[in-house]
Amino acid sequence: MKKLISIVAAGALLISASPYANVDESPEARGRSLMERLDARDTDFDDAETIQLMILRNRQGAESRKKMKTFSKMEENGDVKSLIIFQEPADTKGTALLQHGYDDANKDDDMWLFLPALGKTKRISGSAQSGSFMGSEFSYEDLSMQGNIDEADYKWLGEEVIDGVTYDIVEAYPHDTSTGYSKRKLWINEELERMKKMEFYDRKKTLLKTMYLEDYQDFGDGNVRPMKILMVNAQTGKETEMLNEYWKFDEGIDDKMFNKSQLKRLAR
Amino acid sequence: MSKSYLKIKLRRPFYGSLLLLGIGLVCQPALSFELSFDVQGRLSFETQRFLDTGLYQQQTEYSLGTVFETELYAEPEIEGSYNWGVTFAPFYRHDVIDSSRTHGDIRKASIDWYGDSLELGFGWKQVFWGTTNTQNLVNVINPADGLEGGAGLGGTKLGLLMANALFFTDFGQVELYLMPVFREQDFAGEESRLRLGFRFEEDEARYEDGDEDRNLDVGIRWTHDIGDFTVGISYFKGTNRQPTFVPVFTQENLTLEQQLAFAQIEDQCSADPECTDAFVPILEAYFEANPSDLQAIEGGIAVRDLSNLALDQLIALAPLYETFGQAGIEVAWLVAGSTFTLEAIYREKGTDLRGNEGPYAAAVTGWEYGWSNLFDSVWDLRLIVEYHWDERGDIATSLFEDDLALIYFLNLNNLSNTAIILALFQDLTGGGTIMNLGTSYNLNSFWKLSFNATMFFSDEESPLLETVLEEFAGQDFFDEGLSTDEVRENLDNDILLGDFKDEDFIQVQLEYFW
Repeated sequence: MKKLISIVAAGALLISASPYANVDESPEARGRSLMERLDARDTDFDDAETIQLMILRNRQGAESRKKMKTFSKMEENGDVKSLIIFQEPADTKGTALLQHGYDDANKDDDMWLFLPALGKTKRISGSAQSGSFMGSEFSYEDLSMQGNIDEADYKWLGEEVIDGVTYDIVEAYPHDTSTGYSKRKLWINEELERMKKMEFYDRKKTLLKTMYLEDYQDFGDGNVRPMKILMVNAQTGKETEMLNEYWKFDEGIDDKMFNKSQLKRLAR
Repeated sequence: MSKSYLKIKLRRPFYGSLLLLGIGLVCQPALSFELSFDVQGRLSFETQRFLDTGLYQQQTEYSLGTVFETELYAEPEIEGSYNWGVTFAPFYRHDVIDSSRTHGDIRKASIDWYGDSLELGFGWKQVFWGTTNTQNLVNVINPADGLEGGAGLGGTKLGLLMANALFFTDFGQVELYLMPVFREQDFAGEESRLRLGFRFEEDEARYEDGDEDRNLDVGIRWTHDIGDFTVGISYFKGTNRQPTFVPVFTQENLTLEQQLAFAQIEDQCSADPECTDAFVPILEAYFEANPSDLQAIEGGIAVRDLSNLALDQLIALAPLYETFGQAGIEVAWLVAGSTFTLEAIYREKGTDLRGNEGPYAAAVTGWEYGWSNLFDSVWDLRLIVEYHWDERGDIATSLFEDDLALIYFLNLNNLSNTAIILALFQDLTGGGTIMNLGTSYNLNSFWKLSFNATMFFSDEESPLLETVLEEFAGQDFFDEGLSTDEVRENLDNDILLGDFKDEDFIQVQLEYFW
């Protein structure tokens, strides 16, 4: 199961290979083809590095910060490896999360957590997908949403014009019962090849969260990323802003970066 | 190692060439190097308040301490690559109330060389082995820091001098450690709480091996991930990190005459290392000098008062560091969101509480599971259930011989990252219970506040020392004599917990991290 940390690693980004869709396509086929092209483009890099700052806000507007550095690498067989090194809050410093995501949908991810106080590398279960990532409005599965294309069915709902820009609306209905969502709804600018926002509906089919992707920057070689992602919880009023300090692509990150035996060294 | 990897390691680059400018001007070609550098650490202000008066006169009712610890790590660039790492991690605790807790340690001071499939290291290091959560039986490389809480559960460890090699193969990782110098454990002083009634005589430490603390200890471990399983096999040969104890008579607090008498007895029974029957004349001499104490015994005065007066000053526990071999296995199995763990050891030799020597086996096995979004909230709950077993039963040197541990860890996932932990250790045969309830809050990105309450429940009616003394009080020990064997015959690990039942405490901790 390829649970690519996509916002982190690949970005929720659509670059369409054929920007003008066939008007005869069924809504399901058009939805699927949009998502397929997104999936193909998501993995169009060898490796990536970024530092992300998450600002968590509650309904009253109080804030707290989380910061982490992330390295990702695409394997030739479609597997994805990623390493998250936590930097803030400072009591999490030196903690590192290593993830090996497999292209094989039947194979669970391998995850290891390095705990610096004990010097312990703990292999952990990757199944708690719907839990909050570091207390933010992002769940683990949000960070890997563009994973395996076959994990959901899709339907193209039509177009919507927002501020003079036309967006395709696609709904995704996940197969997996372990997901926290009944469906997701995506607004995709096919011409600009970018996603503008995504709505998440809970198991009771009520709107749970909306994610806004802003401030897209082009890093060359087709690597375009939103530098700011805002996730707003419609039910609690809480929100999380994720800001990327930078992105670096295809710098030739050594395989050794993704070796569990190196976690202690890399987390420092 | 590729160039970009090197760049990545440069988390906090600074330019050594500036520092070495002076040298560079003299030496041609100019020296210049880059350094990847990282620093982490914490400053902790903490206080413990004990809810009951201590069993022993000297004991304090609270502690008030400051802990400083930091870890500096640097990787210098040498000939274009980063293959060397230098670690320095000092630790210091200062306690203004309980001075015996004031101590420092070099947790780490080491140099490492990193190759592609081999790593070599030398210096003071800390090594973790194990997979279970509430006790790590296989984790024997470093001795515990006996002055830091939680050491008994594999918490804080002392740094230890070692040379190590790590081999990475397709069939797992192999670790090899050689430890030329042993470090004795420190023990809480008389002011300290959470101690047994007996004093510890660190100066009287005994070693089974003639080389004492210069015996070369060896540890080797293989670990590998095989499908959903992570397995490990380890072997350790060397000095016991957690000593067993030998009751001894001590001269401290005796009059000069008594000490002279003691010296004579020691001389007479020098062939017997425990010099067991030496106690009688010492006691006789003591009561001769302190007749009121003798009257107190005859008049049936409270035994606790007596213990403060006499016996606890005469009997002490000396650590015995045995040399043994220990084989260990570790298994973790991840299935359907659950983690099942097992740690088991076979120790070729160990001394139980009654002084019997022999091989024994012990194990911890458990289950860990997490629930997300509890009650439609963002709360996460993790539950750990672990069972502890020791073949020796209630005369094991560990408190956990047939015990169930339950840990509930609740994270509210709010802005202050509020966490609540409830830990319960229940002795299934002896009836004792240890309970810990804690909560922590991140005040901001750098400050953290924690509260902790620890409680001990025991069916034992009186503490260990009193139990032992009561045993003595019924005897005419002036005629029959008294040996330390009688102390041992009354020991079991339920009595040990009985000594802690008035030691319930609350701890408040304010930490700054960098």
